[in-house]
Formats: sequence, C-alpha cells, structure tokens
Amino acid sequence: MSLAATVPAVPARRWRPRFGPLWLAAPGFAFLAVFFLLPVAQLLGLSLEDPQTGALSATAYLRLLHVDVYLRVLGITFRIATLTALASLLLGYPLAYWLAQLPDRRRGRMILLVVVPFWTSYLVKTFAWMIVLGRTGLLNRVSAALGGPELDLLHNEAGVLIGMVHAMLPLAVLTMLPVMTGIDRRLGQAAGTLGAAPARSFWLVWFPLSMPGVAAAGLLTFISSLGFFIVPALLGGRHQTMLAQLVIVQIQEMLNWGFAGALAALLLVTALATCWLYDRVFGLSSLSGEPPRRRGGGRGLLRRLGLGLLGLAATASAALAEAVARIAGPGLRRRLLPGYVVLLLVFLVAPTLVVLPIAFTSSHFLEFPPPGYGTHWFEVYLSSPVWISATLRSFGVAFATALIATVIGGLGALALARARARWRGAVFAFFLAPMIVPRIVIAVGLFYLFAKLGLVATNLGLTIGHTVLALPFAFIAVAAVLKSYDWRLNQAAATLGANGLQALRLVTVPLIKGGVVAAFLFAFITSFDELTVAIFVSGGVTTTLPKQMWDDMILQLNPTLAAVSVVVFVVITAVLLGAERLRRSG
Amino acid sequence: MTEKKILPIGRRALLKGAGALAVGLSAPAILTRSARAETTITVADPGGPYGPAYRKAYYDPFEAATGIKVVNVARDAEPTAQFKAMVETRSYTWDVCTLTLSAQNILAGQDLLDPIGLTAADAPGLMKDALNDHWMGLDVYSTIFGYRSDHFGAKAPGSWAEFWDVKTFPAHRSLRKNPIDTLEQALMADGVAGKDLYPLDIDRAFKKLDEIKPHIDVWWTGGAQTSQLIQSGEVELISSWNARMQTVIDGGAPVKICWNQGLYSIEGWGLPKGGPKGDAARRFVKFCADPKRQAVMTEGLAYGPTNLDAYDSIPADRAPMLPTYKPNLAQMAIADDQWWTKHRAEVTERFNAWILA
Amino acid sequence: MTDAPPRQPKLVVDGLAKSYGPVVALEPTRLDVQPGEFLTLLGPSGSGKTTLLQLIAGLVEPDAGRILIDGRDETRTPVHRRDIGLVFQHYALFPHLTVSENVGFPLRMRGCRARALAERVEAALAMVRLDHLKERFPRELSGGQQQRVALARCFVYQPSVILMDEPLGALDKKLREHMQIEIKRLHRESAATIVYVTHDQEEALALSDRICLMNHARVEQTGVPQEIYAHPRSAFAADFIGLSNIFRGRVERSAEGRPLLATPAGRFLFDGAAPGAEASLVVRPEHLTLEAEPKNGVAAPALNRVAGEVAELVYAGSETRVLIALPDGAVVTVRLAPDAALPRLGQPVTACWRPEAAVLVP
Repeated sequence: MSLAATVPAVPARRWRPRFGPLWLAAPGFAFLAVFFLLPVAQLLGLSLEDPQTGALSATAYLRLLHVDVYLRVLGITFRIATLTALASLLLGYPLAYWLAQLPDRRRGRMILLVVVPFWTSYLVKTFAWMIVLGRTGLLNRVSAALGGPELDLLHNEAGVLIGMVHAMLPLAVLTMLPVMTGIDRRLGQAAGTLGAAPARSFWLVWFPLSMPGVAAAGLLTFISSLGFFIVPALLGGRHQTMLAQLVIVQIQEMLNWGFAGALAALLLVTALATCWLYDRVFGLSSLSGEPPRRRGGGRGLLRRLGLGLLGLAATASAALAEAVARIAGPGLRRRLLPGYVVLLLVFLVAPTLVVLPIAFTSSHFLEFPPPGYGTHWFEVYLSSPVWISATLRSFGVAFATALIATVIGGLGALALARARARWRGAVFAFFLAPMIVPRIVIAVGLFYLFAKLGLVATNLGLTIGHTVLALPFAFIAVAAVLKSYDWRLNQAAATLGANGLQALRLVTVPLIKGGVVAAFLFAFITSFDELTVAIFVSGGVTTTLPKQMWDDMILQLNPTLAAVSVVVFVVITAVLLGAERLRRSG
Repeated sequence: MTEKKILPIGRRALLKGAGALAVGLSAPAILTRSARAETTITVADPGGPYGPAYRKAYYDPFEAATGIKVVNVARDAEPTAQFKAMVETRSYTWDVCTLTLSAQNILAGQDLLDPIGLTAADAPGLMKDALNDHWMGLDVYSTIFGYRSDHFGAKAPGSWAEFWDVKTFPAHRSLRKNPIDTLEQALMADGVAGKDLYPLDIDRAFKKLDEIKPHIDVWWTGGAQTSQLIQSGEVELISSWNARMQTVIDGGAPVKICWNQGLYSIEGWGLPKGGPKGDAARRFVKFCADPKRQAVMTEGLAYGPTNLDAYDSIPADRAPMLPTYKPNLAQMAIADDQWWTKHRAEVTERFNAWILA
Repeated sequence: MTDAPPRQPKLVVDGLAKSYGPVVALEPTRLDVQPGEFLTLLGPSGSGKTTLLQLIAGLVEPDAGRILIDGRDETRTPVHRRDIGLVFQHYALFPHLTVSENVGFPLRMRGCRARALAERVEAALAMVRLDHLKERFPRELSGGQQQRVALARCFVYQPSVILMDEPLGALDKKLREHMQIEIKRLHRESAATIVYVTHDQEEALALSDRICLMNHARVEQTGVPQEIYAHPRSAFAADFIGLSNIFRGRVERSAEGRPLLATPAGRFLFDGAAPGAEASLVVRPEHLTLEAEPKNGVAAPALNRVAGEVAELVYAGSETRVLIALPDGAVVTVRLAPDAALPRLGQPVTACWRPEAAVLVP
C-alpha cells in the first residue's frame, strides 16, 4: 500500500461553518425580534412617555389607576374571558372526548364540522347571533310559538358569552384533542380489571391524564378572549365593555397613543401573569401536548387535594350512573354523549346555517327567514371592484403569510426538536409568545412601527403582521409531528451518503408532510379571517376581506356581507375537500 | 392545536395557490401606480353607499370636465390615525379625504391639513358652517331619533322629552354607547334649547341620563347596528343618524324620523398637508361646491347638501328626507365639534364610568 | 378437618367463541383451570391466546359460550365486577399516580379503609421488593421495576384469577429470566390461580403447571410441560415447543411385519399405533446420536438412521448443535454434550435414534 493512498488529496480539515440546530431558529428569532418584540416594547415605551415633551412620565398609568373605569373594565374583561374559557372547556370537553374515541378516519371527518365556524367570518357570525338571539329573533319566535317565555339572550352578558364561546369552542376542542388521543387505551382497561366502574375509571384515570390538554386549551381560549372587541360591542349590553374596545377608541378616535399603550400594557400584564401562573402549575411545554414536567411540587398538597376531589367526583358519578342505569336502562347512558354532541355541533354550525339563506335574500336587510329569494347580493359582490380586490388581496396575503410562517415556523420546530435540552425552553417560549400576547397589543404596536417604516396600508405590512400571528400555530403544528419523528432515519440517511440538507429534504420533510401542510393551512386561515391587525395596518386601497366587511358593517349593513361570507365559505371548503381528496388519492 | 391529518395539500395545489398569490399581490400594486399618474387623484370617501353616489355626482363629472381621473377608495370610519401616519411618513395614499368636523378639528389642531383655497364668494349658497381654510363641507347628516310607527300608531313621541317619557310612550329603547350626541339629547330632554346647549352642562346631562338608564334596552355602538335594531323590531325607539333610518324606511319598514331637536353636523373634504397633488385636489374640492352637483348627490344619499341652492333642483318628494331641507333644518341645531374636541377624553371617561356603574 | 368437597375448577371456559366479521378469533373453546394452578396459553401471534385472555377478563364480549369463576357464571359481568386481575404487556401503570397509589388503586375501588390499604400496599410492595420506591412515579422507574409494580398492583387484592398478557415481552433476556423466577416465587407464595399468555415456549416450560398450546384460533394440546414436550400430539406442537426433527411419510410394514414410516429421508421404525395412513415422525435432537462413517464403507441398514454432511456447527455454551444436511435437502439437528468430540464441517456423518425415542403424530 503506498503512502499516497492513505493521505487524502484535499486537505481534510477545510473550514466549514458549523450550522448547529439552533441556527434553524435564527430566522424566526430575527423576525419576531423586529416585528413582535420591538413594536410591543415601543408601545409600552410610548405609554411611559409624556405626549408633549417625550420625557419619562407615569401619567398614563396614574390615570389608569385613579379613574376607576379602567380597572373596572379590566375586571369585566377578566371576568368575560374567564367565563368564556371555562364554558369553552366545559362544553368542549365532552365533544373532544367523543372525538378522541372515534376511529382515526371518522374523527378526521367530524373535525371538519368543528372547524366550520372557523371558516365563517366572525363578523358575520356575530350578526347571525343577533338574528338568532334577539328579542324578536329566531329563538324567541320558536319559544313564543311553543308558549315559552321571552328569552333575554342579547345585549347582555349571556349574549356576549354565547358569541365568544362559539368563537372559542373550536380552539378549545382542537387543543384538547391531541392530548386525549394520546392517552393509552389500555389504561382504561387496566382500571376496569382492577375494579373501577366506567365512571370511576374516567374520573380517576382518563380525566387527570387529559388535564394538560384542558389546561392548554384554557390558557389559549382565555388569552384569545382577552382581546375581543366586536362581540361585546354587538352582543353586549351596557356592562359589557372590554379593554380592547377602549384601546381602539384611544387610537382611532382620541389619537392618544400613550394611553392606548398603557391600556395595552394592562392587557399584556394580565396575559403574562396568566401564563406565568400556568407555567408554574402545568409547565408551558404542555401547550404542544407534551406530558407535563412536574418539579417536585407534583407530590404536594395541591395534588393530593386534586386527587381527593377526583375521588369524590368518581364516587358520586359512579353512583349516579348506576342510578340512571337502573331507572332508565343502560340505553340512555349510551345515547347521552352522542345526543349532546349533536346538540353542540348544531350550536357550532347554527350561525353558518342562518347566514346561508340570508345570502340569497331579496330583502335589503339581514332578515331571517328571508321574505323572498334571489341572487341580487351575489351580483352586487361580484360586480364590485372593491369587494373583488379585497377578496383577491386576502387570498394573496394569506398565501404569502402561510408560506412564510410555515418555513420560519417549521425551521423553528426543527430547532426545537434538535437543539440541546437547555435551549428548547427558550425556542419554545419565543415562538409561542405571539400567541400569548393579545392581538390588539401586537396590532397597535405594529401600526406604530409600520407608520414609521411606511408599511401601513401595504401588502408587505399586512403579510408581516399576519405572519407574526400565524407563526405560533405553524410552529406547533410542525413541532407536533416532529415529536414522533424517528431521527435515526437521518442517521441512516447519513450513513447512506446523504448530507444534512439532503437528509432533511429527502427523508424528514416527506415524512412530516402532514404537519407541514397542517401548519400551512392553520397559517392560511389565521391570516384569511384576521381583522385586528387588518384594522390598523390595512386601509385605503389595500383592504382585506374581513376589513372590508368591517367597514361595510359600520357603514351599510346589508346582505352583501352574507353573500361574501358564503362565497368565502364555499371556496375554502372546496380547497380543503380538494386537499383531502388529493391526499387520499396519494 | 394539532390535527396532523387535517388538511394535506398537494404540490399542484401549492403551485396554483402561488399563482393566485402573484395575482393578488400585484393587482393592487398596479392600481396604486396608476393612481399616482399625473392626471389622477386618489380620493378617500367613507365607502359603502357614498362611493356610487359621489361617483355619479362628483367623480365622473369632474373627470369629464377636467380630464383628471378620480380613483376613490374607502377610508376608515375614523381616518385621523391613518391621516397622521400618512403625513408624518410622507407616504400619501390619498390626495383628498372626507373628514367629519371633529376629525377636521383634531387634524387642523395638529397642523396636518393643507389650505383648500376656497372663499365664501366662490360658492354663495354654501352654509357658513360648511367652510373654513382647511375644509369644505360636502354633506350634512343629523342625529335624530327614529321610531316604529306600527308600535306607536298615531300617538308617537315628538321630542327628546317624550323619548325620555317612559310612562306615556312605553317601548324598547336604544341610545348610543357614547357621550357624543347622547349628552346633548339628555339636556334637550331636560328642557335646554338646541341653541343653548354649548358649553354642555355635563352634571345636568348625567343627572337626566340617570333617569333613562334603567329603561334603555340596547346601547348601540355602530350606525349599521341601529338600522338592524329598528328594522328587526328589536327596539321601537332609537337615536340614530337620519340616513340610517332612511335606509330602513326605503326598505319598506314602518319607521319614521323625528326631526325635532335633531343635531346636525357636516362632513367634507380635507387635504393632507404637503400632498404632491394639492392643486388638482383643490380644483376637485371647488368643483364639489357646485349646487347642481350636490343635488345629484342627494339622489343616492339621504344627506343634505351644504350648498342650499341645491334645493332648486331637488325633487319636492325627496327634499323632506334631507337634513338641510328648510323645515327640517329649522327644528335642529348644529353640534359643536370644537367643544367635543376639547372635552371628549374626560367626558368619555366619565360616560364609560357612568354606564358601567 | 371435614371432608373436602370435590375440587371445583377455579375457572371454566365453556365453549367460548369470538369472531370479528369473517375472521374467527377464537373457535369454541373449553378450558378448566384448577385453584392455584399456573396455566400458560402458548402459541404464535394470531393463535387466539390474547383473545381468550381478553374474553376471560371481560374486555371483549364473547359471541358464544360461558365463563365460570368458582362455579358462578360471570359471562355477562362487567369487567370491573369480575374478580380478576390483569397484568399488561406494557404494564399499563397510571402515569399520574405514584407507585403506592397505583398499587392501592384496586383496594380503593373495593372500598378498603385507609389504614388497611396502606398496610396491604406496603406488604405487596415488599413482596416485589420495591418498598423503597413507593413515592416514585412510574416514569421514574426502570422497565423491570415497572413490571414489578404492575405485579404488585395485581397481587395486592388477591383476585380469584390473575391473567398475565405477555408481561415480560418488553424486557431483555436477562431481566426476563430474573422476572420469571420472581413470578414463580409470587405464585408459590400467594397460591394464586394464574393464566399466563406468552409466545415464548421456554418461558412457558419454565413457569407453567400446565400449558395450553394454541394455534389457528383453537386449542392444539393441553398438558403438563413434560407431557407436551415428550408427547406432542401434532407436528405443530412438536415444532413449536423445543427443537424437533420432523419427517413426514406414509405408514408401511417392514419385511418382519413391523410398522414403519417411509419418508424421503429414509424408512423409520416406530413404537405404538399409527394415527393414519400418513404421519409425521418427531425426534428430539437430544435423542439423536452421531456415528462415524463406517470404515469399510458399507452402509448399515437404513432404518432409524440418516446420513448426510455436517452443514453447520452451532455452539451454545452448554451444548453444541450439529446441523446435518441430508441428500434430499432436509436438515436434521443433533444435540451434543459440550465435551463430545465435534465433527468437521462438510464431514459425512450418520445420525441414529432408538425407535422408542420417536413420536408419531398425525
């Protein structure tokens, strides 16, 4: 053997940049630093500035504390968000439970029904609720026909809660579901053989194991609820004023940025405090459906108390189930859950069902049932350049948002999966942060930043804003599939001669395709139905569909809204069903 | 949050989507660029029904007369923040914009408006409230109340005092969840004459509001909402803007307007400071002062012309529906937006506290 | 002591059957398990053993048949009221409960008082030697420890019958052997009645009082391990349990009138009656002896004797297996003691056995 053969011709230690896995998160870090952290920080800074001199000043905060309106509105906001989160969890839990028990394929189809409300613009949904709940509305007419009492469901807290729970239920169910489907079925069997009746087995085993999902759903619905402004304005009464409404008034009508910043800070602090508490109790990582990491506290008093309560619930419900079975026979118990699920799905789909015929009304008003039918409002929509350009822009911006968010979020998720454990927490918290800051805070911050950069009322500005909001969803969707991904496949690819990038492209991406596609669609829909950022950042010639609907709603409420909403609904449904068919045909 | 299988998409769909994206993003860009051409001005109107009415009355005739193309876009309900951002960043999306009196006050106060260069002599019929250095009023709208004639029959409320009279006129009532107009309405209900309203006696107004508070079923927040509320019969008595009620009446609902003790205000053109097409914009504003043009506007909009000479060419059956129709105008007073500009923040704060209490 | 009543089986499976659509998971099956007995359901995957276990546990409803426990018909009793214990292959420990809470769970379900509960949990954990880990959560334990918790959780409430579904399947070999001894000890100490499912024949032989061999959704043979090993009743039983050399052929008579089996590998004498015109002859490797090729080159009579070449030598510590390739392509395995002289690879050899060592099966 000659010497030459053992010495490589090229120098072996050529310098190559080391792209550790953490680098994959770099685009996301940079993007969020500029378009999320900076604007929010600026807004908070603004709240500490004297509007005239620019000097440091606590005037805005003193006003918050001294005029009792603001703390009271904070209290109302907190109360409504809490009730919304609780109701979404309580109502959504049995539905999620039911879905979790279904075979995979059927579950996929039933989830579509849960997602239906997502595809109907929530402005339109809110109006649909006015039509259903009003004093002269659908429900009351039915009630009157049956000789029932007049139901007071609109322009009060009940109305706000119905509207908000309706909007938040799908989010709650979709957050709880992965945790529930991850629960080992054998545990229930084990409980059974150990002597636990089904009701007890549920409370003592299934329920506590589903808690991480419940907690994550509670956090997300609560924080999303903090930022609502349309629902309380239209369905609420005089007591239902929420913080986001005040923020909008301060910016749009009073032009008082500093005070708006202070109000936003109030909202932000509430959200962050909730997150902190959540992290203490459950650990933030359970947001992605991971098992909670308890730190010692898992053996504490709180846990014992919880287990004790569950024990009581178990004993009570087992006795109840027994009694019901004895009185009504076992058939009733078996039909109870499906019956409930049907009712809840009707609740979820109802506004869409109301909007549908209104789109074909011959009337000039949102009347139900319509006095006559026609396609007039579709003609109005299709012949209006304003509506058409808004529609095209919404699709374009949503597409761009989905692409960018999927790439940045997907890379971030890869970083999360591959980085060393001590970095994971940071990556996770950072990418999820836009989800736990109320949208209105981000929107106002971005508006301020964009105004300086000349990005207000541009497609780029809109896309950036929507990407900030969509990023956490895309990130979670990809991170979820990566969790069960076998990284040894990449090692296998490497031993077979693939470099890192090739392995990623040829092995990893095809295998996690489902998650990537889900990320894309989540981001798309997030952008497509987004109004908060659009209100501030779009405008003039660059109007998105929800923004155009919002303007229209303020100016002239007519069935064009319903027609537009039906067109959007049909288009999105067609896209989703087409995607599903494509997937099935391979 | 994760449903792995929920929606997979194939490559073909992605490509198709990318195509749509390109169209979506490029179309508005083209629109903006053409709008920037020398012979074009971009006008921000309130959108909705205003668009077609303004086009017929002003935009198209202006194009025909001058060759300058008018591109109209819908502005925000409260364009002040955008206006401010636009001037400060010198990125002019609009050359002319409709402003309410209060928006005009705020913007002029922050020196964000260019002069319009129009004098009273240029348009003799113009109401004196409708013109100043930075702004020309184009249409007059008024805050009135509407009622369901099927509910009240012959005996309908005819003043704010009667709106407040819950015994004689039992009904489901609705007021605006905002101190603007609502405080004035309370004072008029308490016997203050329209011309003596300002400066508002806030304490007295709130005292009067205390009386009606338990009898208000809905506190509305948006104009379109008022149409919906009275049209559906959710309430029978509601404060609103005249055009809102007119839409419902035109739609065939049994609703009537009470002009008595109405408050009117004016909406008109303002120019962003330092705009690149100021001259063309000023020509356009002057063009809109023409009474004939304003008369055409009222065909599609139930708002009053600011140039009262317009009534010479408005049909007799249309005139009574308009705020500046002489008998209507005589029953009303003008709202003082200056006062509101100064006191709005503190009064709003107090109103919010009051309504939550 | 009074007269003992006639011994009643602890568990009777009477004609139990289950199908999923067109797929038969279990043919009608009869099985008696005596009190204190350790019975193993042994079979390859898909043989119906797990279905039978789930039917007994009540996790699956039978299409036909009855389950009697202590003479009581428990066929329609819901799982949680059947007095049985089930140890799962993947333990199925409750991840949110500590070791002692897991073990205490069945006692809680039975309304056991706190003090008694604590004592019994303590005793059960001591029995599996885990009393020092009782405050841990399952995920903080090793696989072997988790399995011992699962065992303790099952033994603690002394169910009438304990069912074990491949409980050692997830452990490595060393640990598995250790746990086998542990389970044996637990069985002896508790005198519990155990029905054990496995596909590992060595495990079955090591643990069981009786083995119930299953194949194709039915019971193939039931008997004590020695009996099944020594007297398999089918080629499947012979093949599945232990190593076997199996020759298929037709039953004929020798010149002297003795029955013999004519196979492609040769003609073999056997003892006992033939089960039919065709049969399989089973010879265990340890019953074969190697003969060196006769020097004079004259082959001995070909009865109970096969000749071939050494194809492979497999060293297994306590023994060495010699694989002999026969001219017809079949391979015969011979087991040699560790001190025996080994043939070379490729060397022509002859293996033979005594007729009474062979078993004839259908």
